[in-house]
Amino acid sequence: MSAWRLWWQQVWAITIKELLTTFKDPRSRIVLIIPVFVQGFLFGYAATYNLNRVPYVYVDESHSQRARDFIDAINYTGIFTLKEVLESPSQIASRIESGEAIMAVVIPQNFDSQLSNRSKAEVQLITDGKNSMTAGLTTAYMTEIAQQFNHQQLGLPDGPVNLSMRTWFNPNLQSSWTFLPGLIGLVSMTQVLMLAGLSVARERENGTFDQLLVTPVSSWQIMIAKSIPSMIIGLFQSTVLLGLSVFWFQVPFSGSLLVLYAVLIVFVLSSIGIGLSISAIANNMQQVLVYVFVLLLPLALLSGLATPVHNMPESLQVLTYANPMRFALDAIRRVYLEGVGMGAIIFDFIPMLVMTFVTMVLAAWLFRNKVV
Amino acid sequence: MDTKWAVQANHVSKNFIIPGKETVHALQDVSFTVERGAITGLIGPDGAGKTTLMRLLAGLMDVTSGELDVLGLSVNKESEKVQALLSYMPQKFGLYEDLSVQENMNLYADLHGIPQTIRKERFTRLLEMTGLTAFTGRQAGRLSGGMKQKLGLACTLVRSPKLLLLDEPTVGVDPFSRQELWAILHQLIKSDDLAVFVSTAYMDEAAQCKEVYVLNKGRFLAHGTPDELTQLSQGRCYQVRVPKGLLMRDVQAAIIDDSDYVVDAVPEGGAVRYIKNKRNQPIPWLAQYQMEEKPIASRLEDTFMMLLKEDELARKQDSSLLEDRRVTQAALLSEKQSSLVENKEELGIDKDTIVARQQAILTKEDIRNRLLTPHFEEREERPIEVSVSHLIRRFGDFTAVSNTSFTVQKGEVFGLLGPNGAGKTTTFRMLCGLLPVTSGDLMVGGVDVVKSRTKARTNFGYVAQKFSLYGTLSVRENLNFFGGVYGLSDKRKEERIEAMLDEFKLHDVIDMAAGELPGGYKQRLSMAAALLHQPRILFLDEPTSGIDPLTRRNFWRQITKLSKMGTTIIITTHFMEEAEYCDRIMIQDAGKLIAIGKPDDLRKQSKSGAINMNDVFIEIVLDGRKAKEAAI
Repeated sequence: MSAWRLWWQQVWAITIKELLTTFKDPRSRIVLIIPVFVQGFLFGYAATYNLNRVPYVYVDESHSQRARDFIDAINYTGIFTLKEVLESPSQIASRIESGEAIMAVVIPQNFDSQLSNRSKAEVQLITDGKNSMTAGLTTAYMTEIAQQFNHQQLGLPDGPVNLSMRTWFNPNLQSSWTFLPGLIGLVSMTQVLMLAGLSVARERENGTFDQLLVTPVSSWQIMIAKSIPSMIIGLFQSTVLLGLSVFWFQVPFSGSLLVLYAVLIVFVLSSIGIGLSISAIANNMQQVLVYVFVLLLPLALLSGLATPVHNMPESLQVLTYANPMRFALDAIRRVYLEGVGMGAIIFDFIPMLVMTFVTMVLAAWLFRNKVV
Repeated sequence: MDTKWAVQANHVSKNFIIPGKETVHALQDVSFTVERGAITGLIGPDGAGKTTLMRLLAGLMDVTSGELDVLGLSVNKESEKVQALLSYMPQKFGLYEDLSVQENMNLYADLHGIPQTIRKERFTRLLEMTGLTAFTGRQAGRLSGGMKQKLGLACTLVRSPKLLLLDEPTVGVDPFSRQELWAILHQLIKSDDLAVFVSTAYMDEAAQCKEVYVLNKGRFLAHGTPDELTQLSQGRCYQVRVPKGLLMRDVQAAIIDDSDYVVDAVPEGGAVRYIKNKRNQPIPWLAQYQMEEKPIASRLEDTFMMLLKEDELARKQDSSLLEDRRVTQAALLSEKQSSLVENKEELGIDKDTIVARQQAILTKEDIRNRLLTPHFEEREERPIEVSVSHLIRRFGDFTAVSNTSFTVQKGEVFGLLGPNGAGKTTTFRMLCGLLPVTSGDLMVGGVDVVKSRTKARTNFGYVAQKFSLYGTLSVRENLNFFGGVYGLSDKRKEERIEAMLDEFKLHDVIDMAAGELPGGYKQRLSMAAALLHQPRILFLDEPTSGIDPLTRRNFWRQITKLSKMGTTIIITTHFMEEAEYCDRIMIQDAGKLIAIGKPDDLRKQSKSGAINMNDVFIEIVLDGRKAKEAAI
């Protein structure tokens, strides 16, 4: 038998063993499938920060047709629900304080005349700042409505407006659009870190790792064989989430699947590297769990999943270079939503590949040289 | 309340009903008593029901039928009251490894609500008794196995119970610590008027009990004082001296194989000691090999083995079906064998396989003849298989193994002995490439382990102390996996797996998950996995710890066979009497090699003329320590 064939036969034997041990246990089978759906639906529905049925009140001091048109434009969106028409701006405070309304609109007396003169008509917008996120979003929605209203009323051509809208990639400001593609990265990373992390620690705890180390396989063979099942499972989960977001939540996929999977493969590899390093350092499964949880939160926070990376302090931004999720997220979103090709995201690959290399070398070395 | 007895059990039975499986009769109609102010022993092989019995007494389970009174109370009805009066130390006592010795004791005192006022006095006494006074600040996880057990005992005793239940407290503990632990027990029954009920696998411990119960498969085979029990096998124990040129373990193997005359045989003190079966007739073939049998006084262990073997035999006769199966297998094997010899060239099967196959179908007489034929030349000129020179291993400042050199020849059975923490595990792990060396040279199977560890491992077979195959995988999947990683071709793998299934009688359990196998099967599977690729060197790390004597006999019979076929065997063990099976043994203490040689050579080193290997070992280690102190 050629040395090369022997090499692969050994890797294959371990891979089969890994797959068997993973899938024979009904608990681990469930753990691999249920959370993907739960998290997918959770983020898709519950944890979105787009608004629905925002209660609002308004004061119309202009009593004009244009003012009524503007109010119609607000109601038409379906995002806002009219609670009450107020007589004077002095009533606003009590409505907001009591929480009856989150937003109040004041249309000034000169609204109609100013618009007719093609000069500025200032509509006052008061929002409840108790929840800054809601307030911000409300304002953003209203800006959108006002802009559209302007264009319709002023009869400006549609062309340039449409163009500026597209740069948002999320015309309705649906947060699930940015969240779901991001989730593809987050969920597969969580699972892969766990899976790879526990794989060696479990064997250490059961004493089977020694048994494996006395066989004539090298650390690299163990490493590769342990990576393959994690890779299969990571990609499977990514695919489930991709399907969920395209077919269930109807977030249109505009890029190339090939490019997306190239990103996913490299990203899952780097996660496996981190997981195996954790596994090689930890003495038991309990420690692995602690390490994974300690790592996961900063990895998610510093990835730009919830807040944009360029808003972070400089020092933290530097740290994000060690975070493969940051680059994966960027690449996934751009491929998914923008539909860019390989060329546009090629630089996202470099930090991920560096991380993969560093962690894999570390783990392989630790397999044999760690003294328990 | 009867004051003499701490425990009275009448016709106690315990069944486990497992849905979808056969009901397990863990205990069947057992009656016994435990006396106050004395130690009562419980001996029996694995799965005899010892732990079940202990747990019933501790009120952790309810009896299925029968009456069980502990300290005058019915355990079934008043388990909480009973539990307040007794202390139970399970096989694996729940020490908190991250807490210090003192913190562990405080914790258990808190749990049992021991008032602060009496703690100080009691702690002082317990620590003194267990010799842990100097180690109160040390983390429990960093204690040696023996010290951990002693701390467990101290924690169990914080509440000063009326009845102490100990479930195999000395498993995996070295001879020194065992002696110390038993000294504590003797002291306790005297000073505290305590009743102690202890299960054990060691006969020398059972011999120290006032009354002993022998349990097998849920039934008592016998009970009585150690002397009474010993009497049962009186007149059936014999000894033969091993003629020159023969190995002790070969002679032992030949004798134990002959079940027409013999129930058990062990190598001991340069001779082979055996027990005859009920017919008690002379073994006819001994004279043919210039051996002469000599009757000797019996011991407790002889009775124990006799009772067990006869019980097993009685059970076997009940299921004659099993025998039929074996015959069919042998027939199949001989068929395969004839086709094998013809095609061996094409098949590329090496000579070892053929020999192994041949041996499997040899007649009893043939095997005996092979065992008892001297091999002088062969023995003298065997190549060196393992060579260790100036081996050193340090962990930080601590030197675990210091400057050790030795060699092992091909086909030799080489034993590594030493008290807990002597460095034998460290040496062992370096030999099989699990631990990098600090410095020194290590050649194993003609390959430098330090330089090319991966390559060297092709020649290794390894059986860990604790069962360490994949528990969720079936027997076949496990064997397939090891065949794969050892790089056997598909065809050879199939053949070898079949051969191992035959050899270790694993056909019946082939599709069972390895983790669910009974203890003895697990051990056989571990051996099968380690021998699948026909390694030149077999490493065995305390393979017999926690295994009953019956299984141990079978295990050593396998070893004898392997050694005969040229496999080099390196083994660590806690059972000093097992050193008798080894060609040579090496004793380490505090990281230093203090003695190496044949068991007989080591016996000669003993100044007091000790014959028992356990005594020889203790003497050599103590002498070594004295010499070291004198040097300082």
